[in-house]
Amino acid sequence: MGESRDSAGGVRRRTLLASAAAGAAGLAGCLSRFRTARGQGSPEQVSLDILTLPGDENAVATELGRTLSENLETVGVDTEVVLLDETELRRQALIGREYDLFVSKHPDLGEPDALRPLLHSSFTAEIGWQNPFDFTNIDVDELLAEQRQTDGVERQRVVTELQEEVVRQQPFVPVVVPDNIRATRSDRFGGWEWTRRDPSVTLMAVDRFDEDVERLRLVSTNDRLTRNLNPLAIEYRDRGTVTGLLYDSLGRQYQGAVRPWAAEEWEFEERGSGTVATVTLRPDLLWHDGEPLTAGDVVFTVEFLQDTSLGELEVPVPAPQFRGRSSLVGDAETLDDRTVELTFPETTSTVAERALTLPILPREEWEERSEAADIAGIELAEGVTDALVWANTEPVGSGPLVFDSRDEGDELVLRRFDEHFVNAAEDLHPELEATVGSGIAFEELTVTAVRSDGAALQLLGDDAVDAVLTTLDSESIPQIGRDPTLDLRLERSRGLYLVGCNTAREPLGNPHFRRLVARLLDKETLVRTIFGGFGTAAASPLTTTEWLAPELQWNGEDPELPFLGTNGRLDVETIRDEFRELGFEYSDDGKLLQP
Amino acid sequence: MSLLVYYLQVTVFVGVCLAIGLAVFVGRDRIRTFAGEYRTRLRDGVPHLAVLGLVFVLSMYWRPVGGEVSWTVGMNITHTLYSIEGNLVAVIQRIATTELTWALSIIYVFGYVFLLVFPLVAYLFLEDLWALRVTTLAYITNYLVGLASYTAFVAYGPRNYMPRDVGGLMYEVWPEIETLTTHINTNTNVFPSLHTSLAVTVALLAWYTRDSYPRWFYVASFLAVSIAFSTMYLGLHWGADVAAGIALAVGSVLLASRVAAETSDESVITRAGRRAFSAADRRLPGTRL
Repeated sequence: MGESRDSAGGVRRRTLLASAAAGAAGLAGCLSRFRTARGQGSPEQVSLDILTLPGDENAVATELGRTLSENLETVGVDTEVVLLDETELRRQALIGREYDLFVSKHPDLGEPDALRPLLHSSFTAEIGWQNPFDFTNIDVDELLAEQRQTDGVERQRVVTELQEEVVRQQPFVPVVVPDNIRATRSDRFGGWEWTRRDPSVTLMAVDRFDEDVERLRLVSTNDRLTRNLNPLAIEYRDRGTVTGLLYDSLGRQYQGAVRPWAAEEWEFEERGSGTVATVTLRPDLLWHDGEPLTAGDVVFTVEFLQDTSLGELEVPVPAPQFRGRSSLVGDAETLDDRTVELTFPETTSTVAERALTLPILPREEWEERSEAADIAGIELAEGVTDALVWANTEPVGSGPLVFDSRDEGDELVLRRFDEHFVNAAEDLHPELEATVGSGIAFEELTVTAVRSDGAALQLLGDDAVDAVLTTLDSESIPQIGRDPTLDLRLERSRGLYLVGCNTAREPLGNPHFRRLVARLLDKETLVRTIFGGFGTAAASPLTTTEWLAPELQWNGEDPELPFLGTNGRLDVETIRDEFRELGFEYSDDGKLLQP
Repeated sequence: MSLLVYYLQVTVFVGVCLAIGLAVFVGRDRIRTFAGEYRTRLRDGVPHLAVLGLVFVLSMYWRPVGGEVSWTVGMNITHTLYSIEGNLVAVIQRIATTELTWALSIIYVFGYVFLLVFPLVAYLFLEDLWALRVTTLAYITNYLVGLASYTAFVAYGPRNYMPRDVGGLMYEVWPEIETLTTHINTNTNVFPSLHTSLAVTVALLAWYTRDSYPRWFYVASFLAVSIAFSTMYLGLHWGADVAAGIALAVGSVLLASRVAAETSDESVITRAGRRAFSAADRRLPGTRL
């Protein structure tokens, strides 16, 4: 055994020596050829990473990412689907900008001004949904500024033009507006109106059928709200509903408009090219710790949301969630303990009103959160303050519900704040009274966290909870439908599934290339296959709003960038011709090569 | 609260199975012999279990840290795993029935725990504790390699990569169990399948000890194959995870059987344990082992 092993080694060694001698000359020639080839820069295949969420977090996003990947592969682009959990996806796409394409759901595009932080070039350096595409375009910038300064028919015209320009440029591909799918029981509580713009108001407005029922029990498939109650947190989904119960704002959306909430009233007046709002707070507003809420807190909050470092860091660190709204305010000042003056330069009152829905934070609690975020003394990243990463697990707000307790990963308990004006039900103006009646109809609100829609629906079916707080996947609809005790609620959401393009990276910097990427998605088929029919194909980012440009109305196919194929199947030859026209070439084996 | 109930269920189930296992596989004679010399057996055997326990506890602490490290420096290989095998798991799931899903889910959760715990008990009843030493060493190897791999790679399972083609079947019939499984592991730790590697490890060791426990070899093999299959059938693991798991099992058993001390007197852990016990003895007479 030992012997044969040796002799085999000997043979191999001899052969190697012989071939090395013979090959030395050949090798030199080969290396020289290699250098020449490299010098000429042999064209490489176009290669794109597609970032998306795993099925556990958002099956729709996963499948959209895969479909896009398959279609790009079919036309010769090398792709990789990179699954990242929500926190990582935000970190890489919305904060670090380390991506080519990402698939995600924008939470709220219900208003034209929401496009401003998303697309204006002045926001490219910021994190969150602030221009994550690094998109810069003078025409779009001008239109975004103009829609903020115009009203009525004129604004309609500007917004139409804006949509057409954005859709032409395709910094992102609008794909589908999903339906929000919700399930509730109506044996203990009724009046679930999820169509409200503010889902917190939905919960405040439910009625109980039985006086003895004290607890509204909800289930959520997002356990982050048992870990983090910071309304400013960067990495967060559906945060608004619960924090909206804990924190008040000057105004809220109800009865079809932004109406006074913590404010007793406000007055807008035009001043120069801008608007000034004089806001009077309700008397006797209290924080949950018993301290009075004053005009000083309101002014502090506005300034804090604009720069959570309060001027301490070189570059301002705005709270990304509220960037669009906080950027409207030019100046905030207290006139007295109950009166605030807010100045909105270059803004009409219609747009300025949105800023009144910003949450109000207690100065006492948040002022000290303005330092740069660090772990054990090491600064995390430039431009992140403690305010944005703090978990705020014992929140002090002024809202109609007060934090009670939480069990990390399992449960969150809030209870009624009896001193709140809504619960005291005194001096409510008619619209507010029509909305919240005589205060919140329960003593306690519990949110149980589970991992999946299936587990949530099981709790609902067993009457262990009254409603599912988070929206459900279309695959759970049959299960809801089969159980006669459950109510299925469907409504169009204001969110939008989109494919974000990193316009700072080639070839996605080329708008023609992005337009071709858009034409690889058969949105109409996707609604059927991935959304189970519960969604609306979108050509414009404002698809489900009254602002939708007439030219961008869906008419059986995308009016601007129709799918290059039929019924989800690509017309490969046509697409190749289109790419060739852009200056791309194809290798013999069908790979799309970089120009 | 509910989590505690699951742990209790598992404990009770495994306890009952262990009792049955002792009666069926170990037999009355070995139990009687053990009763006679349990002091030396425990003295020489327990230190190995303690080391295993220590590794287990440390790994529990490492997991959340490893998760963060993994996202920072790890390679995201989900797409690669898919490229290797494509729709294999989706094809496997075509045979799904509710009954089979239940059976495999129960084997995946309860059967697995029993399969891993039983050898640790049963090998204490063998005169020669070599099998016990190899088992603990092989488990530790599995664990450490598994953890290293989970840290080096970020990988999601098939149900996360193709949620419309591959269902999380166990969670569909048994949604509550997700509380338990997610408490134990996160969904980015799929490569390799430690369920597979540890189960196959037990089966391989059962083959080593087939002369002592012939019937156990058949049961362990059946369970190992079922568990390896269930990880794919339930949509949790890729075929590649299972293949890597089998390779890890073979590697760890080969390594452990080479490295483990031939006799108790040669074993470093046993000797350290004996010293600890005799030290405890001197201080607390009456608890002599």
